[in-house]
Amino acid sequence: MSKHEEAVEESVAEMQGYEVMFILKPTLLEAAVVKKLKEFDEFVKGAGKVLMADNMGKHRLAYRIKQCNEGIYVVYDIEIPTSFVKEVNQHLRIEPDAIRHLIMALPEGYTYAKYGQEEETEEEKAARKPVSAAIKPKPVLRKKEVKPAEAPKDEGIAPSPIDLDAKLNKLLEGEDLNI
Amino acid sequence: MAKYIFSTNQKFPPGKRRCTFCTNQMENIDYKDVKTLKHFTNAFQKIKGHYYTGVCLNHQKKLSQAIKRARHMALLPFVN
Repeated sequence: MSKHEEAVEESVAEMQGYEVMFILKPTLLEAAVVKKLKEFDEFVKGAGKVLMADNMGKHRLAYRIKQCNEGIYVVYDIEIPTSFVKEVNQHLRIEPDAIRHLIMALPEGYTYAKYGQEEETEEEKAARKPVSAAIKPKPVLRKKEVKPAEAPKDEGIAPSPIDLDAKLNKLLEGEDLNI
Repeated sequence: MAKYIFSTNQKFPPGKRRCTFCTNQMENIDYKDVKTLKHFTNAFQKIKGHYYTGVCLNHQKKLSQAIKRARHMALLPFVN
């Protein structure tokens, strides 16, 4: 055979890893979703094999697609020959319930990791400042100043000015003075 | 998910800025981890240049490709 035909045969039989992600409509029930995933599984198994399947669940979309604000995200890791990619694309394009899809070639050393479902570790929680209710000001406790009991004032008789003058004169003239 | 993220490297002069993906030893950037990708976009959800974030050129090309894929799959918005 010529070199060109040999090269075409090799590229057709070569298996390559791909990642497929598509969004389903949110109005589907769980039984319908399981049915759709089974159909896709059988469609792929005819030509290759499925490495990993994951249903990410319902998420909110960043913008509206076909009058839908939410969507069910599904991720597949598959290994198929390079000539089968066009048919996968066509299958997802025709599907009425799949509103968006993306096919990506897997780089070397790729492992699937789940994002968005990791819980915060305790360190990160402690680093974050806790949200507390409005702090009420503490009442400042002051020592009660015990004032000494006030002695009753000796009011006495309020002296009138006239009496004072008379008193003075008496004292100055009196015999008791010792100067 | 990158452990150490340097997204605002403007405090340091250009010679002292470090690439987050080189320090974490990440060769491939995943379009699914929205938490790291959000650090490299500004308030209007535009991609920041690598002069301001300190990312090296090879990783900046992969970063922009990952952000564009996430936008296509409605994980990130195009516009605020």
